[in-house]
Amino acid sequence: MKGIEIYVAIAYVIFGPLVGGLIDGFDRVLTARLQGRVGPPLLQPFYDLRKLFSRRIAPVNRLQLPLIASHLIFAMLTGVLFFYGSDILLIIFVLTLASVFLVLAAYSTGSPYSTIGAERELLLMTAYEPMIIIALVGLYGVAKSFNFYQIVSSTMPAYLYLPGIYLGLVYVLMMKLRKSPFDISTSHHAHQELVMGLTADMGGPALGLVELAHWYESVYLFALVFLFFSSSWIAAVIGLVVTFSLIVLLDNATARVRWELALSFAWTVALVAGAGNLIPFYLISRGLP
Amino acid sequence: MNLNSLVSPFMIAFLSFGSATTVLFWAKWMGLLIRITDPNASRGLLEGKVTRYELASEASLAILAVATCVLYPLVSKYAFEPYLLDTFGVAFGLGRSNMMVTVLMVGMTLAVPGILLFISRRSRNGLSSPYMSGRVTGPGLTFKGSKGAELHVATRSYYLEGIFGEERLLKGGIGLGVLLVLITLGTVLI
Repeated sequence: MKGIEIYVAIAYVIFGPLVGGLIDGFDRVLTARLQGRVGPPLLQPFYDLRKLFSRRIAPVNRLQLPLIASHLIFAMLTGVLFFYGSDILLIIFVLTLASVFLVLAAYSTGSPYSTIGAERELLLMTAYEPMIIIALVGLYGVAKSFNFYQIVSSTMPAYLYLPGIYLGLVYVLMMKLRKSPFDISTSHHAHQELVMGLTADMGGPALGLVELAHWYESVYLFALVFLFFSSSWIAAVIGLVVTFSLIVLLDNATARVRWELALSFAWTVALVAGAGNLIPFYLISRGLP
Repeated sequence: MNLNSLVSPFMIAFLSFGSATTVLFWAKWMGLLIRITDPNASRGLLEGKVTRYELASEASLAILAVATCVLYPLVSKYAFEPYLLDTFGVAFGLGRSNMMVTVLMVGMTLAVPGILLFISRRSRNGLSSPYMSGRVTGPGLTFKGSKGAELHVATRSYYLEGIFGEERLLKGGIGLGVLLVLITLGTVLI
């Protein structure tokens, strides 16, 4: 196993957007079918990205583009460290940093829609972070490691020991993947009161960079879900397909929540399903020899 | 099973929630600081109000804070670990790879936006005006509203009264404070 990490990390940098874009494409096809439409071709996200990069760069201020590019670089770094086998608990802080840069890029414009989007994105970050940290500590409890490869090679089926944490993680992934009912800061569709929120003042290549960062992010987020099912390949395939379908189904079947609800629901889920699973699991596993 | 392993999972739960609120606080503050309502306005208007003494003390505070973050592994190695070893007989060092990642992270946090900002300063791309669902009429977030009236955009902050709320925090805070004082007194008297 040793030595493979660096190649996986390099492969992530090169093929990450390809996988992320395909996930996005599948999502759009599946969403269209759920709504009784034919929908766009599978490769539509890539066509969209090419179009975005063909446009003129017109930032609102000189700070905006550097901050957006930093967002992309730190989103990539999160995945690189993740697949390189660094401590996943530390990586969470790089993940947070990446999101902070996007929020700052939106704040810097001063525009009301961007500001509201940035405020809401910050609240979403506050909402999902506890659950993600609890999930990582839970995985550590099962595999006794914060290393991606050591967790993968652990034979303990994490989803059996941590069902609450798994469900809690899927719950907050809806926020991280900008899915309804939690697409309150920005979304792929324009909202009436928000225009595009966080990305309202980003256009052309700037928006392309945000999209690219989102693809990089979705790859390691699904890799995180994979860690719960990594004990067997069959479980992994079923687990990932079910998780993905569940997220798309909920995206299509729910109306947006208010930000107060998003925050208090997510914290309740983290407390009940997350900590409620983590604390007994730790106490039991430590009580046993 | 000792007390340590009983407490630690609860501690993790506390830490995870604390970390999230810390991010909210600092990121919101920084966001409000870097809001540029008018990119073409002359610099130094706000900074002009700050006295030299205030600037000096705040600058040194900022430099020291950054230095602490960058030199974190050294502080851990030469200050914390000897202390822990001395007091408790055991020391928990930061793993070497974690140390590398921490330094890398802090370094990149400073370098990446800095370098990019330097590059973008030289760019000659025109700036566009922020979107305000109305015709932008000039610098500083003004736009033409209905009937030709010129309107200025103002944003106000919000407070998470229902969730954190001052009143709620005060009630819990007084209780916890009294408890802490009692515990402190108790340990001193015993």
